[in-house]
Amino acid sequence: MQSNVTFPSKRLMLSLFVCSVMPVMLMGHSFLQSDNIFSSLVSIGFGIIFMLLCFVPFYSIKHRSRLDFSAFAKNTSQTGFLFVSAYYCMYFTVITVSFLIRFCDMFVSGVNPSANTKVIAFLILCVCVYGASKGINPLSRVSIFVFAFLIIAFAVIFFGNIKSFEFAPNSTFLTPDFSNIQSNVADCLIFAFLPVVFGFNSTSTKNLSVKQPVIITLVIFGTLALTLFFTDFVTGAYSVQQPFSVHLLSRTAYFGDMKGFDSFYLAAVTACVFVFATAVLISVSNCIVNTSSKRTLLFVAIIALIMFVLFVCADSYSAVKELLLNNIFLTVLNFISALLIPGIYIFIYRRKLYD
Amino acid sequence: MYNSLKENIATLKQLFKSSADFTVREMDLKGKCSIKSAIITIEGMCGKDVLALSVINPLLDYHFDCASSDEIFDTIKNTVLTSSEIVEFTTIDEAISFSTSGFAVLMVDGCSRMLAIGAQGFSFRSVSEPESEVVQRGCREGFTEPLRINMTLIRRRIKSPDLVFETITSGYSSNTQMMICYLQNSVSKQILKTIRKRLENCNLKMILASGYLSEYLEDNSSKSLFSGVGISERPDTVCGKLSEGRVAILIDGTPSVIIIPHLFVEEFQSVDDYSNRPYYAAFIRILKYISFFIAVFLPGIYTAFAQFHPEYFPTGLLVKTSDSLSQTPLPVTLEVILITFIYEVMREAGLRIPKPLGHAVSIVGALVIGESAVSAGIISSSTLMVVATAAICSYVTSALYPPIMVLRFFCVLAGGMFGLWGIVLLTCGVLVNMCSKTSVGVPYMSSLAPFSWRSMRDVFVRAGWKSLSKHTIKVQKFPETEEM
Repeated sequence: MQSNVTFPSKRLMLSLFVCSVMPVMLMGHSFLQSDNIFSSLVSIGFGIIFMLLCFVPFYSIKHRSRLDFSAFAKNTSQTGFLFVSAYYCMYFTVITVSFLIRFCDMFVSGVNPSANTKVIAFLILCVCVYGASKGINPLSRVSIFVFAFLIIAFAVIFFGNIKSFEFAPNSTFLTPDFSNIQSNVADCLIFAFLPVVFGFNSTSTKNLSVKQPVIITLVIFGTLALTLFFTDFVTGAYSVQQPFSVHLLSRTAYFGDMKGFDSFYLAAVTACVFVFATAVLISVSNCIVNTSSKRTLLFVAIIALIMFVLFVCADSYSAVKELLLNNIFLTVLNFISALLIPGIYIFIYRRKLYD
Repeated sequence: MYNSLKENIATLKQLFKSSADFTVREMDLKGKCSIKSAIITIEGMCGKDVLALSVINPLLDYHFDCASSDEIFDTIKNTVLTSSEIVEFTTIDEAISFSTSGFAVLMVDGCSRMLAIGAQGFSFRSVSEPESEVVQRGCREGFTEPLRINMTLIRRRIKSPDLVFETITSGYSSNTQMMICYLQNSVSKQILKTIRKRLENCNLKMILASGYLSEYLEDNSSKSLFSGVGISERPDTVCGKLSEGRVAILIDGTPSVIIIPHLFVEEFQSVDDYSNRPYYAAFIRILKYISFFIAVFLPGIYTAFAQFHPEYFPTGLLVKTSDSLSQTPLPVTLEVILITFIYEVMREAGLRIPKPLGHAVSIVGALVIGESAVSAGIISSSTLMVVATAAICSYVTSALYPPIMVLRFFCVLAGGMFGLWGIVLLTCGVLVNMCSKTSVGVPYMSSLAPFSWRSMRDVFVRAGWKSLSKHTIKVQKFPETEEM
């Protein structure tokens, strides 16, 4: 059973940052595919604005009613909440499976080609079910340890490649070119699942201020920009042929005779996937049951089973996999989940919110 | 109790089933009229010399001028007896409790009241340095089995009226006496109330060791490898914990004192840290943390690298490791589990074996495992080195040995079956368990998670005393402490 002790919002923001590192570490060679800094910066700028916009509805609900979105929706309309909770269960399932597929693809392509991805996904979901049964407070505490390890891992990977860093831009680097904006922006907008996770877990938090979502958004995209920039000028043209640029970066890191620190990368990305999947499962359980319910574990296990079934479908049918990996599709879902539905709720029930 | 001496003696004899150690010394008191009295003792529990000097001789020498039994009783209590500890009582249950605790029970014919006279003289182990918590610069005294001596060891170090001992009896067959010990001005009333309630709800038949109570004192949500209850045999350690608002539970018959609440970071703290220079204390603390990680993860990581990720080994080590592993018949996972199992068997045998035979165990262990098994090619030298290193590191924090041993085993399994990512997932699961655990409402991972900058002065490093004394740590003030 989960406890009802409140914890600082800063720790929830830390958990969101840890979740955001996962897509950064799993970014493929086609992520922000552009040799043009202006295009990249514009895309990142769009990502920042969109994510901040997505925080607004959930922040307003928490600030006014001291509740997260699911509790607010339950209080306003039981019938409407049935449909809304069904939609969000579907949304969280899609998001989780999408990133699980990326993780498994990275594992198969870079670690062990003979690995059984179904076993990987099943085990990750099993451990995440256990984590989700404990609640968001213990997960936020675990995020402290994962964050500390991420700092070490990034320090090793970055400083291990510092000698290979060459700022040698090509001729188009500084010339404004916005031809790839559409796909590049979609790559940045996938981070908008983070405000939704925040929106479903903010009840137990305290001391929320307006600068916290702003700071965390800037930090997330700052990390993304730094990683992209560094990767581009270390691995250069070689990374175009390789998927998962940060994995490549970890393999090229060296300190004297000590080479190849991809174990740090594998450990870091696994921990981030765990935190992400557990946070999403907790969000789903908040949709369905009360946090103090003894049946939380059962419902979370059922949702995890549905996620696994979707993963198996994606693994077996390439069309499903392509859809789940399509960043534009995920962006549309993020827009509906983070802006449209909460926005409609705030508009319709604004009196309840402001009373 | 009855007024008749004969009836009281008969009742007690019946209750004790005429046990061979139940002794009755009947006496005729000198006076105007002959009044009979009796002293009940349990053979071996009372000191015969003390009894004779402070009870029997004064009683037999005194001439009673009183007429009634009650007046004689009052005279005995207030004038005759020279013992410093005298308690008056009236029930049979108290008579049983006092006599089995080493008191001499005095009865006077015609009076329903009785006296319990402190004349304990049973044999007990003397105060010596505890073998499980050896320090370099701390005191050399450790707790022993008798409860009163342990109370004295604490009282001598905290000469303050704020130090309180509360008596509680538990175990419906053993009637074991316990003391709840705390500092009035430091303890949390809520934590104290919770502990009292849990001890009252303990329905054990016998309490023979402190471990019996641990499950009753831990929080319900704590199904964990790690214990939310601390144990110590050192009075200086207990006194230090009391000043931080914790509660100590002393149990008669065991030298291990329970301290609650108990946190994870305390497993890496020792009395020596506060006697040594801060830089050295910090070095030793960090060494302990590193040793803990090596003890838990090294065999598992070695197994994962050897089985799934040989490219993670440095080149030189890879050649040597693959060479030694290729000559052994078993897969590396089974090899590590086998060596770990043999080591645990030898460790357990070393604990239980009589001392004269202890040398034989070390010789067998060194020759059979260290020499013969490697020469015969059954196990590889690199695997043996890894397991031995992990075993040595596990003794740096010996209080954590049980969870280290179990976690090590699961890490080896996870690494052998799934590789490095399996170990990471297992670690994440264990971390969730530890972070959700509480000890009487205080988060078990306090100072680390929830993170507290102020507490960091005494976690990985030990700040100087001038800095530490500015802010007293109170365990109930840790953030996110739940009300139980």
